[in-house]
Amino acid sequence: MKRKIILTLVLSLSLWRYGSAVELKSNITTYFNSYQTQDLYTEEKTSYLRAYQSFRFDLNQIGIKNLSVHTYFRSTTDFLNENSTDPSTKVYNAYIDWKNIKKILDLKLGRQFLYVGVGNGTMDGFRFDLKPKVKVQLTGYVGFQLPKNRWTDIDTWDKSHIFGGELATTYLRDTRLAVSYVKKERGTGPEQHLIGANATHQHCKLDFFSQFYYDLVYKKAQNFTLRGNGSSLWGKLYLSAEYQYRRPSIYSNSIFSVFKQDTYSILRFSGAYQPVKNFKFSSEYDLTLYKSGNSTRFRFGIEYAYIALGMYFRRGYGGESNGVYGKLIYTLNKNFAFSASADYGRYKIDEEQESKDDVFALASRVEWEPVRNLRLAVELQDVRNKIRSYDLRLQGKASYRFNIPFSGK
Amino acid sequence: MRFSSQAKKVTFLLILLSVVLISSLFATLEIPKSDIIFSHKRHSDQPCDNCHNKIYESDKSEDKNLPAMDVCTQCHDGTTLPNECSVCHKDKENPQALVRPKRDFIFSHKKHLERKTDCIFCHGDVTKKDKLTSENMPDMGKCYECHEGTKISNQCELCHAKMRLRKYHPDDWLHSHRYQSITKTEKCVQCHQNQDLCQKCHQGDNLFQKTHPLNYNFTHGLDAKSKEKDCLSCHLTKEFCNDCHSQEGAKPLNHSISDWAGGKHGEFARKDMELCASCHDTADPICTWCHQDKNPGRGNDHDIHPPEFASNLGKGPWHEDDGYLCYECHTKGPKAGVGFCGYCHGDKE
Repeated sequence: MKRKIILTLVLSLSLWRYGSAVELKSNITTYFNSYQTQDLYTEEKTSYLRAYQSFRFDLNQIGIKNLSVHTYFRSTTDFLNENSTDPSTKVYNAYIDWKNIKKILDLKLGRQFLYVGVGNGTMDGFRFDLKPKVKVQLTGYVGFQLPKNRWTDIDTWDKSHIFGGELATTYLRDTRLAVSYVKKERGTGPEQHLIGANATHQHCKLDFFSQFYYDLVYKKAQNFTLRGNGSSLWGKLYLSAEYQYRRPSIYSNSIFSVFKQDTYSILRFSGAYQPVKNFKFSSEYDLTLYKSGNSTRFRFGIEYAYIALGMYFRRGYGGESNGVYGKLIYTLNKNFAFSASADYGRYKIDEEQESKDDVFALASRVEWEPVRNLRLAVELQDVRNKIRSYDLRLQGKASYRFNIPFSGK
Repeated sequence: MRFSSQAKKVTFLLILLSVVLISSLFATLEIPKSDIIFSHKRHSDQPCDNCHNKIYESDKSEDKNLPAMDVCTQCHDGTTLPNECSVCHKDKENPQALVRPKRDFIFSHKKHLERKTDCIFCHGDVTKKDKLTSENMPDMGKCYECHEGTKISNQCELCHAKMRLRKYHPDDWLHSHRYQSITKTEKCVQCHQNQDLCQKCHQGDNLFQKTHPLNYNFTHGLDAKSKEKDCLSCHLTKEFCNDCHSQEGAKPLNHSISDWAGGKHGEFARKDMELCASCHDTADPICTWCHQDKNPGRGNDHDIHPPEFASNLGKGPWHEDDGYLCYECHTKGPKAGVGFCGYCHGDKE
């Protein structure tokens, strides 16, 4: 697969000669991670040192105006013990994008990230966006789903596929209305078959959002969401309120699809108030209501200049936790920044658990941008929990980005 | 009529939600409105720089390019044209100057006009409108029509030197961006081209706590049960959860309580079946060890399948697929014919 990617890039690069101006944008990041795991039975500790190399290439204006190639992938090398559970190479995307054809059509072909109404995920396939000048947009897509945990392979139609689309209009001022559809199949039949609608409306500083998903296999409502939020109210206040009804996300080709499932609802409020410059309060409250029992979460935080402090607690189904956290972000100048964070909490994840466990995490990070295109970062993490009383981790990152404009014949 | 305590809570919280939304609506009504009466349409015979007379020299976004009153009075001198306060001010007793919105990005009208950019290109044809709207102020999509990244740069820093992301992202962005990315994708991609940034967090390696805190290995159960995070949006839970939870020591604690396999597990399962499915899905169909069809071939077991389950499904893939999950249980019956079809259809061909 690496060879295929390199070949695609070389072919794409060679096409620049046929265009008037080709631009290569890239971001190459190297990072490493040292960490330790502990076997649950033998308590034997194993140390790992893993290096990650990620590449992102955007090759724009290839031969035809608005035709571009994009790819983003990463590979890993284990220097100390091999971690077999995480794939060594992940191709996040690799696609050809042809935008603004006749000013009304966008086309995408290849591995791409999808987030269109009820349809989402990574797809190897084809997508079009038709945008005639009547404030209507039609999107359609068809392809193979990402093979389970095999990031360098492509599935066949029989093994898995996805298709769907969305019809959206902004005909009404400050309002967007959309209906969407998706059908996913994987191996043993339909995985997801949904139809949905969403509407958004913006009124001055207020945003409203509503969404409804209907499951065509179960013939039941899957999700209903109603949300409103206001920014810069009276200049200083942010408020949001949200109600969500959900049926559990059990795929229809799951053995669990035959059992009775209770639905649940989530209510969520959040707010932030900035009385003076550099000083802000923020808070969130969530309530998840099951047919039997509920779960409550609350967080409160204060931010002043470079410092943020906060506390949180939870109660109910799912366990209990409470804790405090602090963050410091100090930017010395535009090239140098220092940050540190600490988090201490006590938790139990089951009613049957007699006492709470402690978790503590401390991280400090230095970021330096010696030249405009290069960013370096080092982070030291100290993590303590019920399994490890002492666990020091070191992370490093070097990110290099560049733009190379080529002028063709 | 009695209401359960849960229904009361929901009612109370829905009322609270309504109050928040309605109070927010009133808050927006307090936005100061301009006192000025002006129609570009009625002034369409004038060239733009007659009134916006400093525009060719304006090198900063915060420059005051809207005409001051002395510019208006050059024509509205009381002789050629009227100059009473009420001509331009709604409140003639207390006339107010024009409210100028703050600008904190880098922009030079001078440079754009030197490159022969037409005013109409960015601001639309204002000469046909009495009242201007937000449509007459260019958004970033308009900028990108020229700043396409090849001939003319589209780097963020070109215009946003003092960029503070928090200003562009609301306070609860970590939660709310899921909705914005559905409905305002065109705004997201103005900075985050090609949706690649989504994958950095949603499918990345989380080494720098971008997605989850450092001790998430231990505390993620709280999020999963309270549905604070939608695990499925990033993880194929069937595989991902099972990697650790299939080990004996990482089993959920509630699996050890008395009467777990009796009645308790059913209560938990009905409440939160997503959690069960994250480990015990088709790869480990443990349910079928006990949940066998009690009356094979004689009708539906309502403890397992809801009423009308089969008739709701229509003609599904089980007719062709020998590996379909129905086969886990439905293999034999008193009148069963050959294979899975025979379970319902007997010995019919």
